[in-house]
Amino acid sequence: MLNCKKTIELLYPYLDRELSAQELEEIQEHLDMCPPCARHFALESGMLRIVSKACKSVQAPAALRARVMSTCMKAAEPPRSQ
Amino acid sequence: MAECLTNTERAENSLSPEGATDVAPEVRAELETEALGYIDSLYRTALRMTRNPTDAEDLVQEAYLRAFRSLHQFRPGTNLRAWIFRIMTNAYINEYRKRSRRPTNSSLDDIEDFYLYDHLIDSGVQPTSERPEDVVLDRLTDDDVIGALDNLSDDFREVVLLADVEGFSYREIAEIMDIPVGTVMSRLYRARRRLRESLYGFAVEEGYISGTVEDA
Repeated sequence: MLNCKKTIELLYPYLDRELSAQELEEIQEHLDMCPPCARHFALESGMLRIVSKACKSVQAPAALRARVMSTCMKAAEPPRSQ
Repeated sequence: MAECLTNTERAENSLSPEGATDVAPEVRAELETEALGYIDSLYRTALRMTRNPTDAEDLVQEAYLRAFRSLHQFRPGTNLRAWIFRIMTNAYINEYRKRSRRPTNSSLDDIEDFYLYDHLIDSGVQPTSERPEDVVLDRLTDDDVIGALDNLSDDFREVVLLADVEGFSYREIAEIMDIPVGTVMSRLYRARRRLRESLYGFAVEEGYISGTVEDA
């Protein structure tokens, strides 16, 4: 059973889905039994969620899309046979 | 035309095998189509890195230009999205940041290590809510969050964008930024800590939470 210190150390790898299935299970077990750690994880997860939401509201302008398609594809014609 | 090639070579080579052969036209077309599908991801990252729509468009354009020119170096079956992000990162470092007069934010790390959640808990926010943290986080506007991101140094901002917005793994981020995985993890830790502090500041400014523990 993980203690709080070890659980908090694994906070980011957990949220970033960088842990093994066994580690995930151990952390989940701890969070189920430890409301302070669960709250800590929830707040941190929430912060990452609002960062993602704020940035993802942006889309590439249509003009850029067109410019990239035309200019870059022409530029990609390989001068390799020279 | 050719001057861009020299700057791109370092970017692409580590993600491509030596002596990569040319790609067939149909494969090239497929790769180009796939690459164009990443334009929203690239643009929103470029926008947050340059903090300027015009510069962001130029950076994305440059990244595609470099990528399409060196597409023959890409190894099909490997990670095209990470490959293009790496090219854009190098373009940003080599071209944009070099000529930009805007000073980059420093990575000062001698700040107090306190946590938004500590203050939330200590200030007794929203006792009627089962999840008060969500209440506060949901009140923060996109502008608050963008402001907090913009306060980060370039290196910190990019690692957060790649992990939290684009969902790259630590290993992919290490390749994109050309740093060890351990450095990715430590930068993420420090960058997120600074984000928390900035967001806490916004939350206090906007009156979402009390700024002093004594008020609890």
